[in-house]
Amino acid sequence: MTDEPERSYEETVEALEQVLGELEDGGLPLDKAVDAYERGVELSERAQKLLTDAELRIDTLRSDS
Amino acid sequence: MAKRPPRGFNARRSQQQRIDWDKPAPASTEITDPATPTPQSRPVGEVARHIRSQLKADPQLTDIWIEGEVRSFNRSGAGHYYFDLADAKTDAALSCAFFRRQNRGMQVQQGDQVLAHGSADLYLARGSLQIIVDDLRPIGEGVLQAEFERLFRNLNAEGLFNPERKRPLPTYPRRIGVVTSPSGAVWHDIQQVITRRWPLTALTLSPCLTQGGGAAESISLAIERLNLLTVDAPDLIIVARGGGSPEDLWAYNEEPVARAIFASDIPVISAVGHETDVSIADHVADRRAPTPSAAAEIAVPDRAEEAARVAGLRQAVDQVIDNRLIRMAQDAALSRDRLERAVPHPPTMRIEINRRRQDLEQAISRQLALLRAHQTTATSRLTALNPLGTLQRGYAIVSDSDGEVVTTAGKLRADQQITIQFADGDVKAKTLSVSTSPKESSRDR
Repeated sequence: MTDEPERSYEETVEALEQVLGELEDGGLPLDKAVDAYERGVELSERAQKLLTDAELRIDTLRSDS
Repeated sequence: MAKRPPRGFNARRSQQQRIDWDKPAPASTEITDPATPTPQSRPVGEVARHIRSQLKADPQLTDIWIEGEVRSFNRSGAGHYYFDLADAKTDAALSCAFFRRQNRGMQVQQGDQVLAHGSADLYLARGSLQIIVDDLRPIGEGVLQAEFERLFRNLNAEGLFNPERKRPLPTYPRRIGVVTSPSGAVWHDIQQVITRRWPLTALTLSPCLTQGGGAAESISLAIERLNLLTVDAPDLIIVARGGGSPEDLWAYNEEPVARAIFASDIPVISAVGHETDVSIADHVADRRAPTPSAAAEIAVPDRAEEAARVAGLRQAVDQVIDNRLIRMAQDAALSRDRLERAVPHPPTMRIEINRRRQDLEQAISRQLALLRAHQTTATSRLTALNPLGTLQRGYAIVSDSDGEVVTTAGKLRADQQITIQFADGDVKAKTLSVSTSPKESSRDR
């Protein structure tokens, strides 16, 4: 999952919360609601994938200089 | 730590300065024959001043604690204390000045066993060595405790521990700088905790000494280095060290470490020793953790909890769509009934109605099929929780003639038309009688 500068976990969950808010508002016409639903599904799957696939990266600074 | 010499001292010094104090040392041109150097004479003031600067440059004689017995105690009219600190065993003594600003009238007596904090200085007027004392304590307290309290008091007065200075920690840190020894268990433990809880972050180890000579400088440099990073800069720092004796942990009570934490632009969690050890570093840090592992726990969220949160959001999204589908199905059924009741029934109209009804039903079932197709994968895991799944398990939804969902028997009367919605279709029915059990009728089922 390094192919593009992707959304962080934090941003993904924020977007998911926003989609849920739009759906709960109930103002969306059916086709827009279906779009929003699809986006919600995609975002939640992406967030879960970030949580499962993450690998800790570790650097060490030089202590001299 | 004002180390102010007595008033007469200053006056004398400035007088001398006017005469020859700042003149450069005699130039080398005085030496006429390089083969036979002649000894040079120097003014007293220059030699004395040199001795004085040597004293001040020596870290062994600056900011030190000295242990001894108070002798020849003398309190001046201005409130300054002059005394000797003596060592009974070796018969050595140092003369000390403890000025009013610092002594604040504290009780000191001949024969007291004390710890004195201060720096060596030369009293130029007499060429005598003096310890300028800025703190004095009974000897029972121990040097470490006394030094801890001295520094704590000074830094506290300066505002380094102010609660309003504490900064919030990032909820989802992108990168965490870790200031600790690269070889100890601490670094290993921190990596373990972060790997388990939140591998979405990154770690940058800024290695340092954690005890012994130079440790305080090493720790403060390691903190500064993290603050200087422009690429992959951390947004949180953990300063950590494992348990040890008070002497082992001492570097974290030293001023350079406190200053570096205070100066850090990046918020700092400190975790030094065990739960019961509270260092100066802990007081300055934005957050104190009882142990290094606990610091790692505080630093990041837990991914199991986050996964549950995301699943909850997903479930809510599914629920909204499910509810919308149920409402659509109910509305469609209602419209069909109204249509049938409202129109007269000549054969031609009947045919037209049937045709339109079929169109409508097809349109609805296409929409439903479309939505279900989008949803199949999504809802399979949550089937047991959503209302459609509930219908499939054998439950039914009852609604009254207005299409309102009826959830309690008490809402119905006898001889009322109702619609019972099953998973595979609707049934129109009429109630025979209604009996509610008094206990359960009021409860939300």
